[in-house]
Amino acid sequence: MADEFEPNILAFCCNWCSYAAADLAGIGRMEMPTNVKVIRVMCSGRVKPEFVIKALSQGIDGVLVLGCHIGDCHYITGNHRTLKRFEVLTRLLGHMGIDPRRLRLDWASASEGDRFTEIVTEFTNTIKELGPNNLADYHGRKAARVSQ
Amino acid sequence: MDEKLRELVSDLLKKGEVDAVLSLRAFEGCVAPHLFTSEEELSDLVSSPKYPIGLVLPMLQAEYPKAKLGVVVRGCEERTFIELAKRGQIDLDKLVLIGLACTSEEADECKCDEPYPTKIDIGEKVEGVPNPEIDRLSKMEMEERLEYWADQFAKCIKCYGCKNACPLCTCESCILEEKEWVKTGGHIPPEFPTFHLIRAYHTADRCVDCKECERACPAHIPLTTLYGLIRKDMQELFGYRAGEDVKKKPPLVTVLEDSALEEA
Repeated sequence: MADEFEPNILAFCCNWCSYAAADLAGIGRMEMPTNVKVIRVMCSGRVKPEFVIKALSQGIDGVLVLGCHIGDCHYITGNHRTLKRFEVLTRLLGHMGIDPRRLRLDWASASEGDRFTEIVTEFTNTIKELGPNNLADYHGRKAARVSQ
Repeated sequence: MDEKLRELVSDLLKKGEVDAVLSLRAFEGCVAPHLFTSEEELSDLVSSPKYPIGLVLPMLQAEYPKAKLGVVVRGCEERTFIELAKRGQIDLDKLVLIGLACTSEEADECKCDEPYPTKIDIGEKVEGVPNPEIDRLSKMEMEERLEYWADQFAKCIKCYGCKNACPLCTCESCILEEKEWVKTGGHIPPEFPTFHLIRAYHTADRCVDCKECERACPAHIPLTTLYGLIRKDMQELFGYRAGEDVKKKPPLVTVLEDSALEEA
């Protein structure tokens, strides 16, 4: 059997909800794919769209951003901003021809270990379907000789 | 047209409604921004070509905070001033705007949607000309788009012309000059797509479609096509058009209650 594509996925989890959810999933020995590398941030509002852009351009296959549910943010409105920004970023990725499904923003509260598992499993499957991110192949592309 | 403009400006100066007028001055075959303070100078006043006057005004107002300034503005420049005022860069109350409508040739050259200011003093209002590239790109498949932009951005020589010409790039330190994000030194073209994607995102809630970036670009990268697509999205998502209303806060800095995502 040929080697199956194992995606490299980055997950930004907020300290108060989704990181705790990840913890709970771990303590509960819930089964999930191991492709996800978690980066803990204090709030999903800390995740600048630039982080996602950089990750994708460096060859990360998919980026997950997980925060508290709207209304439950530890900083009251941190995730409001994330929601709006990522809506714009998703569109922007689409315009550039980068599949917007490589980015997913979702919410998981501290008690939702199962939800975390679900999101990670779903997302890993999506990325497996999409195949490897080939943006790195475009680095160093030379300009074609074109008039104008 | 220029003659009428000179009369109008001279009138404003004579009546003392303004202390000085910011517009363009032709000398030695060049055109540059100039602050006209007396009527004698007005013979050199011209209205074209287009110049990013939004880069000059914040400096002038910082230097002369009490002065009442008249400014000759095109549609895009008026929108620029509204966005600058929102961000605390200029004081609109200290300005008298003299509206200048672009000619149909100018509108066509810029592919400008709205080639006129809200109040027109000089010229006739002409219909906007939509950018056909925006439509063409929206219809492309994902792979096609990626190829298109990869080719376009491969031409980039990282001269920062787009950033420097943009009247709404007001940050004191720019993320595009930080080595964590963009490699410094002779890495040309800059890493695809980081450089241009970051710039596109940063201009999302402020781009007023003045085309200065594209005019400044020595590699002829169709930047305003990308920014135009985002401008369209901002309208669809938040019902927000940059440069429209000075009271409307940029949606990316507000919470959901202030400007909710519109239901698609």
